[in-house]
Amino acid sequence: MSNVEKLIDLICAERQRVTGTPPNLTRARLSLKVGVDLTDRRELDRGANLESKIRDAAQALGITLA
Amino acid sequence: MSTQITESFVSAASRAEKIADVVADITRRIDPKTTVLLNVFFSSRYPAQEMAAALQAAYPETHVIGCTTAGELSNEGFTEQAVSAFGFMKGGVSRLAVAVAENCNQNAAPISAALKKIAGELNVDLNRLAPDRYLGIVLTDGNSGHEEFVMDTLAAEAFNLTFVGGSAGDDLQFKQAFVLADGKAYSNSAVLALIETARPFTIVKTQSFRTTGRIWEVTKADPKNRIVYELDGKPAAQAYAEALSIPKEQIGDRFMSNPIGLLVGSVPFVRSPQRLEGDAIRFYCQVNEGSRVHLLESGDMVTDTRADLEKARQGLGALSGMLVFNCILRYLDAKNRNIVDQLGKTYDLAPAAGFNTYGEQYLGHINQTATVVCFS
Repeated sequence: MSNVEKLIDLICAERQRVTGTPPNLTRARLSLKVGVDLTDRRELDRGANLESKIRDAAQALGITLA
Repeated sequence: MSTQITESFVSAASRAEKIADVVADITRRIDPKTTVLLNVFFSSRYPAQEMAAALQAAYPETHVIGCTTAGELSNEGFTEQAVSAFGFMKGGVSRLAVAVAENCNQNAAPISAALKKIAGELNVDLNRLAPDRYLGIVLTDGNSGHEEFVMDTLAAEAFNLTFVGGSAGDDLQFKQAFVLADGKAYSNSAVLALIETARPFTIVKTQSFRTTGRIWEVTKADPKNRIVYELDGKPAAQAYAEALSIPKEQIGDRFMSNPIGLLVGSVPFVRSPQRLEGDAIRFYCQVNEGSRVHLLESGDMVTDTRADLEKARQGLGALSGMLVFNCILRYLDAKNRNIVDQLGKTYDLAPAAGFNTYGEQYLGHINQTATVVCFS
């Protein structure tokens, strides 16, 4: 599993833990914010600086990571 | 023994010239005594403040929200320069709260305050609510360009809730649109309603586009102003024209049938081009730098809409009401194709009302889509 995939899983799990939000909803919101389909594994390998973009998107959506 | 039929949702329409007659038309259909929340969507030809005050006077015990439009929809079909209304009756709502976020352009404080007011009135933690029982409605000023900011703020502060809605229009004048709540009309503001529904609901996001297989990376953009400068390192207009094998001068003719979209899974979230600006393209919603966007092509809007609503009906078992936020571009496209009546009839499955928006709200700000709240 790539670092990007791990990060997405971590964000989804954190959101589910705090608010009960289903992971697929968090993943969809992150996808729209980043502008990359984070449900498509092929897309995860393509985007430049995707990890930092996902962190920024998570922050914009109020998700705080430890 | 008599059987009492309690309606949960009721729709109404009016083409009356005078506000007093509009109010009379609506109250005749939607009983003020049993209406908990009234949504009213009206042409910008009606003075918004007067409309807001007159409706509230007619519904003194009811939360009245709504906005100006670029056309309306009811069970009488699509209209222009008219009014539609959707009543949540006592059977459809357990409880609700309404708040206004005034002057919320790039300013989170009014949105936060509105959410706090709602949470306080309902005595709930917004991030601990069951999303299948609570529905958020958001109506924003469609001329403000603040939709993405509003939706991001709502997502950050009430992540677990789905807010769905539309951007108020002004009959394609692009001068001043209004949202209204509880007797007052506002510009540059958003109206929020949080409803604990008494009926199961589902949200349908229907658009009639499929990917052409052409994918670009947005390499230069100004999201705040909704401008895309470059796709795959080429001037956006040139890249778009090349993909369609047409001269750059003709690309505006294709914007409606060939918007671009982000795909999540296989579902497109449409970003519609508005106009050419030199070699750049201005959109009706934000497109972020680094986005992977698909060139889309349009399909059969009537068939797709009917199929999506039918699927919702089957999922819910039955439909008792539909609140519809339909993009003005879908309406204009339907007009061009002479299918407005057919498209309007797809909503005949239940009492339905809504309006033609300057953009739809669902997990963000989107275009050329109808977002429909379907109630069992």
